Amino acid sequence: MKSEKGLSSRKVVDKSVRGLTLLVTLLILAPLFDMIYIIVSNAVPSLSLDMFIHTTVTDGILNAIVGSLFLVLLSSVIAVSLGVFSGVYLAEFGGRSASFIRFFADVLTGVPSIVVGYFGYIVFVLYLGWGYSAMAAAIALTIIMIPYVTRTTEFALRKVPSEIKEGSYALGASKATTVNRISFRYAAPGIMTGILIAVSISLGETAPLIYTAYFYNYLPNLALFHSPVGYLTWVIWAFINEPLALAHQQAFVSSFVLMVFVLCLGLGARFLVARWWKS
Amino acid sequence: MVEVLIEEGRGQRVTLMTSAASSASDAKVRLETLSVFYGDRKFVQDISLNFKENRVTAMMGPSGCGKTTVLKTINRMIDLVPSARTEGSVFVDEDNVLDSSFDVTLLRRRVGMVFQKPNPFPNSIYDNVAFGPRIHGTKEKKVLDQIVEDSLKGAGLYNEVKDSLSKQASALSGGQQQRLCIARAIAVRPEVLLLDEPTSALDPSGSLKVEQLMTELKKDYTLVLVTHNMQQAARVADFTAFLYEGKLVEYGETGQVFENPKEELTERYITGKFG
Amino acid sequence: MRRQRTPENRGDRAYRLATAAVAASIPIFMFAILIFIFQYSLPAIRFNGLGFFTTSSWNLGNLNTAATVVKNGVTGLPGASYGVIGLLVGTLFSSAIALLIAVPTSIAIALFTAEDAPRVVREPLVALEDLLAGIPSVIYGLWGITVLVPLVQSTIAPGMSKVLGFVPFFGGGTNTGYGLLTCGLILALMVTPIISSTVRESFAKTPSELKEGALALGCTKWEVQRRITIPFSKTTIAGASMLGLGRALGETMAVLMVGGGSYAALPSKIYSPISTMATAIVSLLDSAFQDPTGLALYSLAEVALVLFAVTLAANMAARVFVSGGVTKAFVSRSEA
Repeated sequence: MKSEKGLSSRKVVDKSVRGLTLLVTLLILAPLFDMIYIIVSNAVPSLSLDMFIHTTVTDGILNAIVGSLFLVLLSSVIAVSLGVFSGVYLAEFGGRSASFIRFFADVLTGVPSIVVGYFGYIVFVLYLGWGYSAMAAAIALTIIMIPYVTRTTEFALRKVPSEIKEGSYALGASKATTVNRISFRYAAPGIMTGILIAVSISLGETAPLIYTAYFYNYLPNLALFHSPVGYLTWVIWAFINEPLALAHQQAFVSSFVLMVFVLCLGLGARFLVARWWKS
Repeated sequence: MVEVLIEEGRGQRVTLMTSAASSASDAKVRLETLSVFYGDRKFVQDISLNFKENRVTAMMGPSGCGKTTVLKTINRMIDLVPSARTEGSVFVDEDNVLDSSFDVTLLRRRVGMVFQKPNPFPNSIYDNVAFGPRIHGTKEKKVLDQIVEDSLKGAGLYNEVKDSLSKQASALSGGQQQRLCIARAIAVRPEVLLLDEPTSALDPSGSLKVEQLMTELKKDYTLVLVTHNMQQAARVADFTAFLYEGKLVEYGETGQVFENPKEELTERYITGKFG
Repeated sequence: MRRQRTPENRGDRAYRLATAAVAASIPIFMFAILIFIFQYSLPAIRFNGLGFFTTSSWNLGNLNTAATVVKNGVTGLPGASYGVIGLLVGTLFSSAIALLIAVPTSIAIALFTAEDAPRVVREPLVALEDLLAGIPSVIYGLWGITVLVPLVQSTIAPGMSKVLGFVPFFGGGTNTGYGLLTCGLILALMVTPIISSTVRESFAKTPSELKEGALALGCTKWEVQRRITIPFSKTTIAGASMLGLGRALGETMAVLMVGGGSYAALPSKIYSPISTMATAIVSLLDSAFQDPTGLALYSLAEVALVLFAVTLAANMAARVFVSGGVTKAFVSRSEA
């Protein structure tokens, strides 16, 4: 019967597709595991106290670690302050201007980070004369982080049930008080998740830092201006191409440290999301 | 109808027709101690029930009595529920469809289904009806055209849509959409049609058309109808089964079940004491 | 009767204005980037003219002479010539290869994760996918140099030129492992998690009654996917692909590390070394400092402007298809 013949080839096709999708999924996951394997297998033998005490002048990466944390901290302070309250504006006071701002937040996420970096170079390093500086880098990172913090804050605040807010308004509280005391408490995990993700992104950035912070082989002197800063991603990029074995080790150990940070932030974010859904 | 050659002699053939009634009352679908478990809970309990060929059999009962679950075992749509397990047998003709080696794709061609809420595909009317035949290998346009026309006629929808077959199915009214779904189901020439509360989402005139359609359709198909609506069962079904809490309480000719129920539970349901 | 708005009390008004001022920083940043880069690139735009878009070169000119030339009122070194075509081709080709690989791959992964994977496996799979999406670009580059480049050089490129060598672009040439093909591969890897997570969520939203209807007619699982699930999500697939394209176009570090870095030549083969607009801005900056007229720096800004325009176009296209745009896709992942 015609349908019987067609049927077996249809089943063959179906089985093949099942196998193909599985294969492709494994194929994409393989590099992930390979990456982790490569980094761990190259970094672990080189892990030593020296790595974490000395700077890139000699045989360590302490300046890169401290520098990365310094830059991320500085930019987070700015990005979170700006981003969270921008999110408050979008969530609490809608309207035309809010959609206008939302549009630009989306556009901003699409700007390549190198373009942000070059902008930072032109305006802060050159025009404003700050030179290679932590502040220039921090503003570049802030520009990259803000849209994420803003939008996640907005979504988190929108999820606050209106009954809770109405209860507060009914007691005579102002919008500011309601948001600060009530909404934030409810939306905190969601907001934190957005912050963690934005921090993770900024930790992994290189291009915008190359021409704002440049690189520094010594510990950052915590000056905000006129002083370049070292960071992990530069070490990975620049040192891997050097012929010295030590440089390679430094690159891999930096990768290891960076991956640990990224993984922790990612796990932290997932944990927070799980807790949020439970509440 | 069965024709039996009696004698070939003197250049004459004599045939004997056996009674039409007895062959048409063979069971097309047979449930034998069918049980369905959702997880650990025995939802459907040891039901044995026959559905006669070319007849409409209704399954009715209060919500949660298991009638839709039983329906879904007949075309193995129960497989879609991850926690469901079956025991017992469901025979379509002589094949036990619950057997794990039984081919589900072919089964669903022999046993079609119409759902509670009309679910036309986001395509044209033509493409909806042609969907089944295309899947099963029919490609030539002329053949498909004929199938679409026949199926729409069989569903009583042809005259209303014949000039707009390329229109989107979603543009039809609810009742028309349901008849389209029936056309789609019969386009693959099934032997059995399962109808899961097919009129519950329709307005009265749409419902009426579908009910009249069922009475026509049974000439060519075996219909199994799940319904909440006792009056509908009384109007449309030849046989009625009453289910309660997963068990088969009573089964018989519709007239008898409604006017002279054998079980007290049946009587209480019919007179509206619960359900 | 005219609808009246209840008057806003003073405290609320102040709060609104304050937060609005903060939120205004976003469009301000956006316009600042646009304006400053445009303004900085103006001298280059005047000097380079239309030739910028029709030629491929990066020549600072004669650095050893004190003489300068003036074109359209802008001073440059004698012999200076800048053309972005090579970079543009590098950018577009590498992104195109990436998408050609990534889109079907993402659909396959989305199908597997949304439909085939057993429940227990689904959550870890999604987590792994998110992890892939969050890995920094330099680390992709590191893996690229360490693993992918040797692999392309030893196996993939020779294999490809053997099979497809009859097509001129795919024929054998110098093969160092660094080049357009490797860039395309690594970009595909980076972009796939973005596309597939968006598509997966859309697949999960396919109305079950449509799928059940198709199954009840005797479709195999693949037939349901091919005829119902995928068509249902076709707008989202297009939008997610545009999002992925936007990401690929602007990607810098990984491509820088495996691209092979050729600033002026157009790639003649798929194995040729390339630069993209993004990588050029990084790799050409140090040399640009040597130009006393500053023209090299201005021209880099012009490159940045073109890059900005191209990624903007891709992201606007994405917005048309995916409602809520880039950050919504991102945010919905972060919430679940």
